[in-house]
Formats: sequence, C-alpha cells, structure tokens
Amino acid sequence: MARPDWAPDDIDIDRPSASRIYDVWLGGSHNFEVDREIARQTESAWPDAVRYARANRAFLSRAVRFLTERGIDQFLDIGSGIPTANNVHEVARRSNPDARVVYVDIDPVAVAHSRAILAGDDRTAVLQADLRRPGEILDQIRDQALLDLDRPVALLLVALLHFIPDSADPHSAIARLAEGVPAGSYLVLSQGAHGASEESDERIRELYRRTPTPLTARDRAETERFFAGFELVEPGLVNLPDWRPDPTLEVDDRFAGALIYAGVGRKL
Amino acid sequence: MTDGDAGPASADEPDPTSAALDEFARHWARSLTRVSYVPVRPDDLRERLRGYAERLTGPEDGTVVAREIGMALVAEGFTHVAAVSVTLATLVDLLPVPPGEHAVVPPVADPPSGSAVAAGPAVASHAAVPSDSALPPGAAVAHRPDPGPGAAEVADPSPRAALLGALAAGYARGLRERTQGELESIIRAVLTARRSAERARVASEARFEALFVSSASGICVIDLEDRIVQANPALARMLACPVVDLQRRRLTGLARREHRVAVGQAIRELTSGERTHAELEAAFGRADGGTVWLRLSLAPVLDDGGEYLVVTAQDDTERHHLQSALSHQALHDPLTNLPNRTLVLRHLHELLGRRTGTGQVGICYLDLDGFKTVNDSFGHAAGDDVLRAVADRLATCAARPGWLAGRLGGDEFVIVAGDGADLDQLVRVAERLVDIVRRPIPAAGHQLSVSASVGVTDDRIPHHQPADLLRAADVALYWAKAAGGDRYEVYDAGRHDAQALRSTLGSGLRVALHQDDFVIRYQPIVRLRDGVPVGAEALLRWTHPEYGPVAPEIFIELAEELGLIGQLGKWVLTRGCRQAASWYREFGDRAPFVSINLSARQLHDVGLADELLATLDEVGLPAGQLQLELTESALLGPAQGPADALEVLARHGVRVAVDDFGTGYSNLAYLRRLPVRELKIAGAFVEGLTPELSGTPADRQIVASVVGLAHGLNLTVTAEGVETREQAQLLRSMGCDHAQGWWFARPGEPELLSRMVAGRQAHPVASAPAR
Repeated sequence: MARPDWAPDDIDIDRPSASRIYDVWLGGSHNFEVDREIARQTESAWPDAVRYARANRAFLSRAVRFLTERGIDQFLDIGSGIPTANNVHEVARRSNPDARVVYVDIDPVAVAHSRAILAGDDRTAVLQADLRRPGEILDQIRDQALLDLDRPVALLLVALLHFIPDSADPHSAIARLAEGVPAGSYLVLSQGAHGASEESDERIRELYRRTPTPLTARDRAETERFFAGFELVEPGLVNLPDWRPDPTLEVDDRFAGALIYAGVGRKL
Repeated sequence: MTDGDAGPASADEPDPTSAALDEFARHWARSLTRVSYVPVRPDDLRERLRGYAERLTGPEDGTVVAREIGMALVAEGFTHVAAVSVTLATLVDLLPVPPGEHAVVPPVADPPSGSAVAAGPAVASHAAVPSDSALPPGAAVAHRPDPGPGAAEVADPSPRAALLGALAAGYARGLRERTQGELESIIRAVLTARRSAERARVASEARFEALFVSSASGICVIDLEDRIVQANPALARMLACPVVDLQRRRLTGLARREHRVAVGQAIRELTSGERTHAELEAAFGRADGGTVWLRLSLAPVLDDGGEYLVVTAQDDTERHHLQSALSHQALHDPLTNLPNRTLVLRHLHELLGRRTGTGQVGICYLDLDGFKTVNDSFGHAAGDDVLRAVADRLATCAARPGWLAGRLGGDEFVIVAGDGADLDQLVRVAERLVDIVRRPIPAAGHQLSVSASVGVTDDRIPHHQPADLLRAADVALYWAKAAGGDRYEVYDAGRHDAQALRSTLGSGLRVALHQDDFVIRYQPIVRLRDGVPVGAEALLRWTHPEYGPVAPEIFIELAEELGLIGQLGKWVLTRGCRQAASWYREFGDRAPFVSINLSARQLHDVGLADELLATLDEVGLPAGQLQLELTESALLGPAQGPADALEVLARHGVRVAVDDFGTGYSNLAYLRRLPVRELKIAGAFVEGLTPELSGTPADRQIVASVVGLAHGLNLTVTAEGVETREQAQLLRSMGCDHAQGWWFARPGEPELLSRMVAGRQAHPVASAPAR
C-alpha cells in the first residue's frame, strides 16, 4: 500500500518500511520489530494513526465498490503494499467476479509477498515498478495484456502520494499515467494534509525519516492539481471519512483535527 | 437490515430469545468495529455474529462452538487483541441464557468510559471493556439476572465460564497460528525478494563483468586521487601492462610527460564538478617502451563507497600515426626525408618571430656545383644518391637544438640556425659544409666527387623577413658560385648594393643603347699658336633616368663587363663621324677633325678597319678628319691584328693618337712600329704646370720632354686638361701644338664647334692683346 519512492537494491529489514507499518495498524503480522516500533511511536504522537489507516483502507474499499458499480472492471493499484484483508480484487469481485487487478509496488518484499498470495490467480498480476517512471509502468501493463488500456481503467493511488516528495514530480507522473488510459477512466487517491497538531506532525515526519519514504504533506490546491484532466465525482475532494460514507456503518470513523484528502475523478 | 432477517430460530411464534440474539449481535459488532479493522460490511458482520450467538445458545457443545468462534474471529481479521476482550465482555454481559439453563452472570462493574476507547488502540489493547451506552437499559436489565444476594448460590456457573475460556483459548490459538503464518509468509517474501535481488545483482554484475572484460575499449575506474582502482584487459593490452600492474598506478603517471598536464587537468575539472564529462587525446607510455595514443572519455560515477571516475579509452595510435605521416609527408622531401621548403620557411618564421634582437638567426644556403653533370653523366639514380648523401651530411652539421637542415628543391639545401647562432658559428658550419660535401660520395657504383657553394647570412640585414634571409643567402651563394664554387661567401649588404647598382645600370645601359639615350659632347682642341679650333674630342655622356649622370669610367667598365663595349664604341664612331662630316660639309678644310677614343677591345675587332672605312664612306668624311685615340696599354698588345688594322687606317689617312701618354708603362718601341701621328699629354702632367706653385719642375720637364720627343719623331702634341691661361701660355712657349681643356671650352654641343669655327672665335690663348 504505502509505496517507497526509492528502491534499495538490498532488502534491508533493519529499516522500517511504510507498508509494513501500515500492516501493523491493520492488525497484520507481516512486520518486524523496527516497523512496530515506528508504529508505536507514531501512535503515541498521534493516537488516531490506527483509525486513519483503517479509514484509508475503508475509503479504498468504498471507492472500488463505487467504481465497480459504475462498470469499471480494471484496476491499477499503485503502491499496493502488503496484501491484507479486503484487497482491491476481493472487493471488486464481490460485484464483478471478472474484475482484473494489477498491483504495483516498488518494495521488493511487498511484491514478493503479493506474488505469493496471488499465485495462481490469473486475473491479478503484481509488478515491481516505480511511479517516477510511469512510462515503464504503462509499457509493462501493455506487455502483460492483463488490462486493456483501450478501455477505462481505475488508477488507484491510495495512501501513496504523501510518501512521494515533490522532487520526484508526482504530478507529472500521474499526468503521464493518465495519458495512457482512455476517457472514462478514474483516478482514486488520498493525500495527507495534516495530522492533529503541528507538534505531532513534526514528530511523525521525524519518525518517517527513518524509513526510505519520508512524508510530504500537500494542501488542497496541490492535491487538486493531481486531478488535472479529471472531473471530481461527488462529493469532490473531502476529508477521508466523508467520501461517500457507508450508510450502514454506525461507527464514527472521524479522527480529531486531522485532514486527509480523498477524491475520485473521472477522466474527461 | 430488518428484524425479520434476525432469527433462524424463530418459528411460528416470536421467540423472545431471537430479539435478544439480535441485540447481542448488534452490540458485539459495534464493539468489534470500534477496536478493529472490519473487513466486511457492518450488516454482514452482524449477520455473522448473530449466527455465532445462535450456535452458542444452541444444543451443540458450547465449549467446542466457543473455541471455533474464537478461531473464526481471527480468521475474519479481528486480530487486534481488543477484539477478544470486547467479545468476552459482550458474551458475559449479554449472551441470552439458553432455555432451561439458569446461568448466573457474576456482577460486573460499571462499564468504563467511552473515552478510554477513544484514546486509541494502545489503551484499548488493555482489554478494557467497551462502553455500552447505546444499549437500551431495559434490554440489559431484562437479560441480566438479578445480582441479588442469591447470586452466590447460582446453581451452575461453570457452563458460561467454560464457554468464555474455550472462546479465549480458540482465539489465542487462531491468533498464534495466523501470526506464525503471516510472519512466515513475510519472511519468505523477504527471502524471495532477496534472492531475486541477488539474482538480478549477480546477473547485472555478470553482464557488467562480461562487458568490462570483453570490451574492445580500454576501461578503468580511478579514484579521486587519480589512482586506478580497476582496469580491464583491453586497457592492459593497450598499455602492454598486466591488469594487476595497472592497479594503484596513477593514470596521469602513465601518460607521456608532455600530456600529463592535460590529463591531470581533465581529472581535476571532473572531480571539482566543473565539468561532468571530458574527452581528450593523449599519448601513453607502453610497458614495452612504445607509445600508444588513447582517446579518453572520462565521467564521474557515484558509488556507495565514494566517488570515482570511469575512463574509457580507444586506441587511436594508427590514426594518429597516419595523421602524423600525412603531415610529415606534407612537410618533408620524400627523397632525402629532410624538411621541405614549407617547413623550412615555417621554422624560419617561428625563429624570427620569437627572437628578441638581431644576430640570433642565420642561414647557410648550399648548392652543389655542376650537379647537372652528375645526372647527365651517371644517371638520375646516381644523382639521387648524391643528394641523399649530401642531405645526411648536412643533417649532421645541423644536429643541435633550434637548427634545421632542409632541402629547398633540386640540389639546393639549407641549414637554418636558431638559438643565438652568431656569424662566426655560421661561418664555421659553412666551412664544414664545403669540406664534407667535398669528400667522395659512393653513388650508383661510383665514387663521385662533388663540391658545393654556400651562401651564409645572419639576420643583421635590411628587412629580415624569412624571404629576405633566404634571398641574402642566395646572393652570397651566387658570389661563391661566381668565384668558382667549392667555397662559401658571407652576405655583405654593401657589396650587394654595389652589385645591385651595377646590375640596375647594366640593364639601363642596354635600354639606353636601344633608345639612343647616349649623347656625345665635343671638346674643342685648339691650336696653341693661334687659338684656332682644329678638332674636337668626342666624349660619351649618359644620364640614367633614375640615377642621373653616370661617370664614363663606370659605364664604360660596365659596358666592357656586359660585352656591350663593342656596340657602344661603334655607336660613338658612327655618330662622331657623322658629326664631323657635318662640320666638314659646313666648313670644308677649316672643319675640325673628330677625335674618338678606341678601346683595346675595339682595336682587336677584326672588322674594325673595314667597318670604319665603310662608315667614313657612308657619312662622307675624309679619313683625315678622324683621329682615333688609343691608350698605351691598348697599343702594347703583342697581337699583330690591331697593328695591321691601324696600318690600313693610317694609310687611308686616319690619324692615330696616343692618349694619356706617359701614364702607362711606356714601351716606346711601338712608336716606331705603329703609325702614330700624335701624342696626348695627360691632364695630370698639365696640372703641374702652375707657375705659382713650387715643386712642379718635374711636370714641366716631363711635358717638355714629351714635346721634344714628339717633335723629334715628327709627331704633334696635344695637352689635355688645360684649365688656366698660364698653363696655356706655358705650353705654347714649350712648343706644344694643340691643347684642350676648360680654359678653352668645356665639352659642348656640336654647335659650339660650329660657332667657334664660323666666328673664328679663336681663344685668347696666344696673344695677350686679344685679351
């Protein structure tokens, strides 16, 4: 899910990883003490971190369900991370058993794990690729021929972009990916704007500097710019729990003071 | 979700337990959702939990069911330990009592405040029981047995406790299995990722190794200290040095001395970040002593361990040699391999361009004497052998720094001496050149002896451009040739100037002859007795259009050198005779004769007499009106021819006079043998006839003697150079017949004579009263 923007050639499990920290919060055991340590410290700085992780996961599920209902049956999940409960293909297949999903991550461990989990599933595929080289992603997708890039595709970049610094120019990368898919495709993304307080934000930024993927917060304007060429669907760019909340869900998923933008756009 | 979905247990009549189960499931779902990520939709979750509740309260073995439910919770993703605590709490509080069972639930404390849960999982994980504020109080009371004093007497508390224990045990087991499984899978993923990364790295290294080792380009990696960290076999081959021996060597140190600065600078600029790429060509020393020209391309690379430069090298030696050869060919003479004219001039230009004063650059210009003869007599192969041998010998003379031996073409060679060469040094080299060329040369099976002429100059000459130096040396060479060859001459500007003037005059002389630029002036010869003009000496005058009047001695000598004297003499004779004829026609017997100087060479001209007589005839001049003046030296030759010619002429009546009598080595014998009619006393003697001056009795005596001698031989005497009345009177008193000189008249136009004769303008020499 969380996706490093920098790929170490060596697999270093002494270094915490954003995707494994995420796994901690979702209750997984695909993690190591270094990951759990960052998770614990982050939680102590911002107790809502766990709920935020769940909320992100829930937003992904809602968005996929929403798109499946709109007839989308191809998903490109970039920064897919460690597979956990309710992966995109699982959610999508509840509505459409033929839905196809390509998972992309730069972290070789996440990719290896995903491949192990998805072995034998011929409607999913896992690629190790780098968002900073969108052309290569599109080329691999074409070569693989699992997704038909002449038909609408959902581009999912959930809880990914705050791990990509401006120096990697994620705006251009997304624009380039968008060029590769036809009109009627969708872009789904979430982007952290701020946490509960300046102090906790700084503390969390500090913690994530130990990972290969330091945090980059973006404001509304910067986040909206990712949707250039897309039309935001209702309710637009909103705080994560407010994006089409599940009417049957009674639990309040809100977390105090923090703002995580979420939005879904349709390619014009 | 509706209540209708709730109870599979409900049959015909509403089961009061069904509503309790619904309520139980709703509460359970809410609690779980608060503490854990819920992967299924809330209604699905409630449905599932209600099913569990139903089974727990059903006829099955409660503990078995409870264990299964504990494991199922984990399987469904409720892995947070808070999930089991809220489950147990919910079961204790709210699980409906199955029909017929009188379970008594122990009293529970008030539920903790909701804020404990809101504080986060860290707090929730302490198994705090979630709040249940949403639970209708009535429902709780309805299903909670009164915890009155009789509570302690509950008949069978163990079934409910056993149920809770079994669920907890099942959950723990499920969680342990899941955790183990997930850990195993993530570790397997790490290993897989490591393996594939390792495979990729090995493959990449293998590819790199293959490229590095098999590349035809030389490649090396150098550190920032300029030391070679790694070098490939191609580079080792280029440098003829094993790979291991290249390691730790400095790249700049491997370059040839003259290229080290350039290589070092390129490395510095790259390491300092001034440039990101550099290319250059440099010569490197091979371990076998040879030289290899490498075209280098350098670029920095960043590695985990630090910064390095990658250097790739192409062997460019052949192209370089080809280029050098082409440039050598363009600048060298193929026969002798000496520098050619172009290179000589370039070198000379450079030397002259950087010298600080004069006297630092010089030239020896060498030309073989009679080289054509070698070619003609022994063939061109022999000629080529000679040229090669001379070239070799020349090169040995020029083997010092700043000096250059070259072949200008044909049999012309040159040594250009720089580096403060002085004239003495040049002269010694020229001597040596003349000497070594003289030594026999083996050529085409012969031992040939040749000689050379050498012209030497330094740069202390006017102008001193390269061409000027070569020209000066060429002039000196010409002098050496003119002097007979096999020698050297040093250029001398004064000598060259005089020659140049003569050369200019010489060409002017030819032009003047063609264009009748010469004129004749006539100096009257008067009879001392009565001052009557009896004759006139024809004097040739030439005015050069550029240099003005040229002295007769100069142009006569020049004409003799140039072989023009015969032509010029004939011209004077013809003109003079024509003028005399004119006077003769005008004055008849009173007309002055014309006296014309005849050179020795003219005298030896075999056709002289005939031509002269023909001319006299042609212009209509009686022979007696022509006098020929000859110097004693002209008359003294042993040849018989001139004497005969004079004899013939004299017989026809031509007068013969001895000019400048007494100034040569007089052998008076000729006076007996030749038909001489008159002696002319040189002006030098006349000059001494000055009464005011003492110490000239000798001159007077000589003049008197000559007059006496002449009269004794029946000859007449003419005094030349008479400038004063005293001289004239004296000469007359001494019996001298005729005289000429400025006292009487300066040389003038023919009309001067006409006027003098016509007007009887006798010069007042003789009679005092006339004055």
